[in-house]
Amino acid sequence: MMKDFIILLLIIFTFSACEAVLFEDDPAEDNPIANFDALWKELDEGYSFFEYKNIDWDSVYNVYRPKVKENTKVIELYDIMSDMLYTLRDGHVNLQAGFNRSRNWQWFLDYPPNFDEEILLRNYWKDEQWYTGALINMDMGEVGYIRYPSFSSRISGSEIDFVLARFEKKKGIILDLRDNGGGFSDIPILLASRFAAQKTLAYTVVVKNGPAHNDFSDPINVFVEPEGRYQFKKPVIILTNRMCYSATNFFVAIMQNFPQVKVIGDWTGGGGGTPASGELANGWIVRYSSTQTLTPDGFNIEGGIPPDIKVDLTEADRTKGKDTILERALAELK
Amino acid sequence: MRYFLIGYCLLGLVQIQAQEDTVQASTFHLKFGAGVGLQTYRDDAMSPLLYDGVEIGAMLGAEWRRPKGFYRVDGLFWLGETDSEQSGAYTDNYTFAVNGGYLRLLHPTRESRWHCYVGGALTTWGSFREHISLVNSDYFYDFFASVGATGAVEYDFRLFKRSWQVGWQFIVPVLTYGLRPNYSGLEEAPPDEFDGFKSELKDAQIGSFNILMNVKSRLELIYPLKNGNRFGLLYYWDFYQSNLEPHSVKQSMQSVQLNLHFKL
Repeated sequence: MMKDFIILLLIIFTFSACEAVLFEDDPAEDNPIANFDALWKELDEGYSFFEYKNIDWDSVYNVYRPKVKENTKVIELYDIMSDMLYTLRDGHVNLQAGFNRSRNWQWFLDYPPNFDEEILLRNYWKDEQWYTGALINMDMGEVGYIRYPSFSSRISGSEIDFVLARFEKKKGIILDLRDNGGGFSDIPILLASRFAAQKTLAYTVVVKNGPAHNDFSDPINVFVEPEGRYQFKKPVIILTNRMCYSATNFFVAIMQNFPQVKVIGDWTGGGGGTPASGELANGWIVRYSSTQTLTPDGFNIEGGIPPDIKVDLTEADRTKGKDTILERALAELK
Repeated sequence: MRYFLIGYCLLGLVQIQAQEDTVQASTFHLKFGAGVGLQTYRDDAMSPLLYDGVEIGAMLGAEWRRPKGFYRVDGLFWLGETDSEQSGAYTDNYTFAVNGGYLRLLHPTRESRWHCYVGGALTTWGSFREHISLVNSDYFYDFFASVGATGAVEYDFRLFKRSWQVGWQFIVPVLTYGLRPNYSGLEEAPPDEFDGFKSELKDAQIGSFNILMNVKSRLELIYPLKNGNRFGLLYYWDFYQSNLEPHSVKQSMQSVQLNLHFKL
């Protein structure tokens, strides 16, 4: 009897412990060609803007793949892969290794900065500004001024309500988003809800749902509804420059649906695709756009959003300590 | 309630030397347990790499035995971290398995030391992993609810002058309702717009072995106490390969649990 029991136990444990043979080994970490091919394929099947940007990804492969050899060193491989990703001209595309993060920043480096915080600090704010959470706000006489430096800094509904209540009696508000490179994608809806008079279509999203370059989900409509203590329906001027990216780009797209909103400054930098990420066999992580975002009138915001009034910060004004774009906004609200 | 349970456990422990030899026709046991698990998986939605790690586990279950068979429900829960040896990246994991079923005695001769059972089972499996380095697409999940077949073998024996029982049960899901992350892996589409899991449920699929090949195995060594309570040392193994679109996943969970079975 005891013998039967031991045999039974052995069978069961053997059966249960055989999983080691059920899992294949990890793909080789130090195979440059396999890693390059995996990266190319991840983008080929997941990136959302090949057709919009008219990029021939097969041709890109033919340019960069021959540069990778069996004995290509790690840093060299990283550089080749980064150069390949650079061709996508997308600020949401990065290759993250332990030692570096690749990027394409030409969406703002190729354009004038149109923002100088020193000028604001010394000649406009003059240490009179309030810090309500991440919202820097200041009473500028007939106008309320709000600066939101980054959508990566979370703000609460009550903080927004407080600042808007502070400026309730003003003729209008200037919302300075210059150099705001984006952040959390739920904050644009939260902030815009304080300016919406009614439920409004904010934007439409299509999500990559298959390996072909044109495999997308049905359009998904995103709405913004009035929220908070009250909605600010007087004139609102948003200041933008090319460093307004991603969540900031989304916010500007939403706000342009409201009649009281005007955008002054430069185009936004773009970034209309929500990034997804994947891991390669060597542990590097690639991030890439996997959606497309369209305004209600069908404009794709990946390349940025044009301002209603194009104004650059002139060198002459900068020398005098004047913010040309802010001055234009103040003039509009007079 | 806490003091009641502690007291009840102590009551069981002081009577550990005594055993009950009489077989009762109908018994109902509520089971509590804790232990450790070893989770191993390769989720193509997340990474080409193998992740594994040790997790802590807990169990809540019930067993109703009647002369011709028994009902058994086990709810197993694990919490822990897995990592990839190759990349060094890690994930936080939350996993559960709830398996229930009825097993009917095949040869109802209670004098025999061997008892064989067959029956049907309902199972659910949920595994949630968060790979924080992947930011917007950092949540990965498998959820399966299945109807399947089950069988069990039990053997009564004496060892070290004590009565013991060992029982092995397996479950093979046959018809499965499954959920996996969407193609892009974005949690919500668009992100942060919580839609009450509508987008996840939209991707649900129903199938058989084409979407889930799964074996669940439980081996339990039982030490009956005089008061009708029991100690159980459970080894649970759950292995599956899912080819549910769009990304396959292969996973195993091995777990060792020390359980107390309270007779009600």
